[in-house]
Amino acid sequence: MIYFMQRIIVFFIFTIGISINTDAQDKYFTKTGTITFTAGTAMEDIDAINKSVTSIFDTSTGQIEFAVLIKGFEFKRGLMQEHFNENYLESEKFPKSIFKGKFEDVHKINFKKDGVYSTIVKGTLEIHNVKKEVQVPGSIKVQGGVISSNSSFKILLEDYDIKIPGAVKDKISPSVEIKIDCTYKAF
Amino acid sequence: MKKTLLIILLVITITGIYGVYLFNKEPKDIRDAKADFEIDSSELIKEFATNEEGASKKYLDKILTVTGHVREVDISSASVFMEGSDPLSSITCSFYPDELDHLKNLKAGDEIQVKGKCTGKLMDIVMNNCSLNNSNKN
Repeated sequence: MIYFMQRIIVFFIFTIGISINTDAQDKYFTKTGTITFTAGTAMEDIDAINKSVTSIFDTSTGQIEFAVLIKGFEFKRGLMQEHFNENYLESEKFPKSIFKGKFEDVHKINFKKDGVYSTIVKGTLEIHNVKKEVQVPGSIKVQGGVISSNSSFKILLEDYDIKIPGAVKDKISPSVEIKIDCTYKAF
Repeated sequence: MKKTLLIILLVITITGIYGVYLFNKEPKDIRDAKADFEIDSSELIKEFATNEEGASKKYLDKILTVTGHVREVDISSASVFMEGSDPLSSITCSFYPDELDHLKNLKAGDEIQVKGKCTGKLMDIVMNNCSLNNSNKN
């Protein structure tokens, strides 16, 4: 009986050990990803970068999340940065933007083999307190065991209730191009 | 008559030039600015952990000089993670790209003083436009 119980305990320790291990191997994160966007027109160049994007990626389920602080976007011009925060994104009220989604075909990616894998990500994008279902193209790069995610897509400002006053309508593009670049570390 | 016209023209030109200057002005360099708060990293993390809303009101967009220990240096992104008392949270400090040289000799455990602008909290508290205190540079 005692022998049997010992076996059970050993079995449990063993399986718990394995499950912790596999969980750890499947989860990747970064706190230093970058998001850039371009919202200019022929009249004016407007672009900004944020270098402290947090992202979590689970390679077993394909689930991926991004979070970014609006106040962390840096512009070349101080006034633009001010208007972006105060008038357009209202970062005081809505400090973060979040994406939660899933890779459609994560099982097709071989995370042990170098390469660039194109895929589609579906999920919910929250900007300016407006949540929207989106589907965007993205790619996963595996190089020497290091995983990175890349995506480039466009959003419409009106979809996220971001209002551009008439006076600057010809300077700010109604559709904004967003680029994401994250290199992950294992948890 | 001619004189008034000339003055009006001059005023318009000056406002125009000033307008262009204002428009093109770069965001202010945080390195030249005076810190609004001087605080320990663990104290800052504690304040955000106990009352995120209050701490956000107090620190967001403010210039902070934070003293603490290095947990990790990430050269590729010119970032340093600072320790707090809580192993799960830290402060992500994103440095000016031209500060990179000063980060190369930093290692985990070093005590540093970082000046930067607080942009909020995700998993970590995030500071932007960071620079090292002179005594930490080599």
